[in-house]
Amino acid sequence: MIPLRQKHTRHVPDTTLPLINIVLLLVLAFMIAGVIETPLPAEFEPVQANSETGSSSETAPLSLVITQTGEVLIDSEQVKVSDLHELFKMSSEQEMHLSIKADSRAPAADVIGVLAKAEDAGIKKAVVMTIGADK
Amino acid sequence: MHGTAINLHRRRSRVVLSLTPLIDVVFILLVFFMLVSQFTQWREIEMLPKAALGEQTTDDAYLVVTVDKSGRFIAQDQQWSSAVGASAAIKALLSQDQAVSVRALEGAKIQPVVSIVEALQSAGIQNVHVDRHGADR
Repeated sequence: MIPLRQKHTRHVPDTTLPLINIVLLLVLAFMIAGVIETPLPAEFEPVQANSETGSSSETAPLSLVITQTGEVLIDSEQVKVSDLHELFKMSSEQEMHLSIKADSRAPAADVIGVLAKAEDAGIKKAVVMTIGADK
Repeated sequence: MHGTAINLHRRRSRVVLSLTPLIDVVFILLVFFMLVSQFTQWREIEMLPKAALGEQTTDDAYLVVTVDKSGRFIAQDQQWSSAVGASAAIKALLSQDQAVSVRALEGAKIQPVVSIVEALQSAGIQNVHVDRHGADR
């Protein structure tokens, strides 16, 4: 009798190992080089800086986002401007500084108004976060 | 003979590790980090306004730079469209120990205000303040 099915005994090399290596390296690269942050609103255009002046950004204890229309967001949630004074007061008691990521098209009066409220509440340092200008 | 011989070289049962769950987990990690990681290099421009400047901007101690709604910079009847050009000219206009107060007119956007503050600081002018006049709400 001739067997109809012959067993394949030929060893096929495992090609998934290089793939896993590359993917693990990509994971490590993202973990080391990337920073996990709250996502910015859609169509957000950050304020640009022309020179390399200004200190490099640190993780700010109190971080606000001001949108194109002047809305103030904390952790992607809208905050009333009238509620900011209390929040700034608590932050100043903990000696936190304020970091603002403003849309470049946001009204200057709204951003300066928030900065003024921070100053009134006793915050000692307030910064506007910028990115390098497009070359 | 065959019945009493002990087989020393026993065949080990071969354990095959499945790599599929590992690949799944690693791919999920990769997708997670790709979605949440940000590589933007943020820089800080210090911009705390000075409360006292609101009333004192006409004083000789301050040179007022106004930013209008079209993004032009105006100081002492001169106008500039570029922040870098304005900062160089303003530095020449400044007398010793004079500070600069940046005032945004109604309708002005934040970009030119930050640009002029940054350009003035880059030009070596240390006393640059943002005027909070009209910004309180």
